[in-house]
Amino acid sequence: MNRIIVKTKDEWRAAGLTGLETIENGSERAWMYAMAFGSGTTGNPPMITLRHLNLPAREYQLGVASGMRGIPLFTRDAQVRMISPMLGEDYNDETEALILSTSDMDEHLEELLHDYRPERIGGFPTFLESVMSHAPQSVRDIKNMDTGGEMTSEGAHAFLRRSSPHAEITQTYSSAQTGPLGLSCAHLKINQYHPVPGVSIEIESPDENGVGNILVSKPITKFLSLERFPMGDSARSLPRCACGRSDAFEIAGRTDFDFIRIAGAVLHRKEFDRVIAALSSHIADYQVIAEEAREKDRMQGLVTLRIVPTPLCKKSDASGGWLGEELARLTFVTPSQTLADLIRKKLFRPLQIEFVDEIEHKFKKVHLLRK
Amino acid sequence: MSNDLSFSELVAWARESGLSSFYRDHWNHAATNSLPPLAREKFAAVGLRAREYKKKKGIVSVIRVGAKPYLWKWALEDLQGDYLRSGCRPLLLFSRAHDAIEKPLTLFRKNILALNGTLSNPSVTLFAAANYHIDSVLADSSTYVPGMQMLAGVLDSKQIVERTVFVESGVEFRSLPEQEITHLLLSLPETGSIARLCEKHHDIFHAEPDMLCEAESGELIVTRLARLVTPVIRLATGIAARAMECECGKKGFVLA
Repeated sequence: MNRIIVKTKDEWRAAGLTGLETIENGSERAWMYAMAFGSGTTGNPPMITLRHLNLPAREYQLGVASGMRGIPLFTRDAQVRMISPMLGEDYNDETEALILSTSDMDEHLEELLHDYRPERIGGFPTFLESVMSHAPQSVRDIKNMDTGGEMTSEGAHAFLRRSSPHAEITQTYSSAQTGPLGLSCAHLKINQYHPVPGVSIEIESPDENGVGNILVSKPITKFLSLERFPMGDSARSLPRCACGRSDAFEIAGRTDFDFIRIAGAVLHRKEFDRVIAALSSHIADYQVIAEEAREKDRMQGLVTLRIVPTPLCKKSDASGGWLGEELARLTFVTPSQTLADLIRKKLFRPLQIEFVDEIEHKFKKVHLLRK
Repeated sequence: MSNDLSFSELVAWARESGLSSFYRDHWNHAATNSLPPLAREKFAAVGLRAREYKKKKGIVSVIRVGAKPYLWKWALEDLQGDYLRSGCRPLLLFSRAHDAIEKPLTLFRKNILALNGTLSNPSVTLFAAANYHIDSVLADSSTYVPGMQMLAGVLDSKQIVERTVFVESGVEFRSLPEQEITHLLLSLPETGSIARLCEKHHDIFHAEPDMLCEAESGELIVTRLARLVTPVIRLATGIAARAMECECGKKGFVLA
């Protein structure tokens, strides 16, 4: 069978299950493959692909790859992808994986973790934060920690550093459909990586800050490879790393989730995090929904902020009028202009505020999304 | 997992273990033919490592019975459930994390690639199920009915040749439309599949090949004839059951 090269999501959607028959006729072993499917948090049309779990090398799998007692804190599907290679002969009898889900985050978790005594823990940074906040000292003393599956915030990283000061934190850049793409080294900061072996990374059309769309080339199975495939993430190249490699890159965010270009402005999740932190006495949680709306012949940006108000906010600003003005005044959407500036110039419509009781984040916190 | 292990051989293995004294302490010199049953809650009183009778790579799950949850380990070599007989492209729909991990691993061992679906994201699950051309469904009592309703919109029901549903109690069993179901398995996370609903007499369960089921006391007490990480020997399941002869000629029990 000739290898299929895919460059677009439509091509991948059409060819994702190529090679399935080699498992069904017994010439390939099922446990070395995964059916990776979903649209993640992107809201894009879903896709399904067969993925070989050993391309590139397995040591870049998170969590339980090392023959240790591990805890992979990911979605169930990702947990299966972490664990199933253990069915092979390469893992020793000390290899274990503890299956935890969000329903286990209760008053018993500390005792269960103490009983399990993990040697390695890996997962979404937000899920890791939840677990480590319940962890006994014996678990906080862990030496190996992996993060991946979503961008790490400064706050989450600082929390994990404080809670487990002895842990070597390894960050992996990966997706369900592609598997591992990048791996941190001791010299890189959060969200900075080197490509893993077998993967090449390019930054397409970088802007004045060097940030552009990330393109990935990688074999997915023996029969299908990605070539300059747009991941939907934004990234920039970094200068030569202190480790000597010159291929480091930094993820700026998920295009349309950490980073939305709209109506001539750029909305950054980090900027909203900063402003919301300054107004934390009024805002317990938030989500920004950005869209473009046509006003006669011109496009305008429209930003809706869904807010879980604090008791103080409910008491002092039940309509959200003051809060909306403050948020627009404080939030920079270009290097020199705030959202309020662009509203005055009619490039954006007035900021909409919606008060809600709860924002459901599930595993990943999605604070910024495009409608 | 050995299918020819006898009860007395299993008990001797557990008695003579150099790794764990869990059962020795519980049995306290009782004769093999009069071993006291063990309540599931007893596992919570003893840590995972003190209940390990062998060291093998595996998965560890959180089990919630009674007030205090406990950890339970399955060695990967012991994952051998007979979940599918003709299907080869299953969709899994499970509410509990343990099932959502254990079932695909068990199927992998039979070289079957499972699709792990979810009811919480139906559009993506339906897309994947349709594109994978699923031919079978594995579910639990809470996901089966909504899962089949979800699939009805996009799949021809004739396409699904095998439907396997796992229950943990009589209440769960009676909540299901059993006539649609190909295999109905009574199962607990510590034991794996205990018994299978008779294909001819649709009230009676028959023990799986390596299970011993006792229902004379009104409670189902089970032994798995296998050298598990923590062996299951006369486990008092908390499941109300009554022994019954089946018209098919095999011994069985009904769930109360």
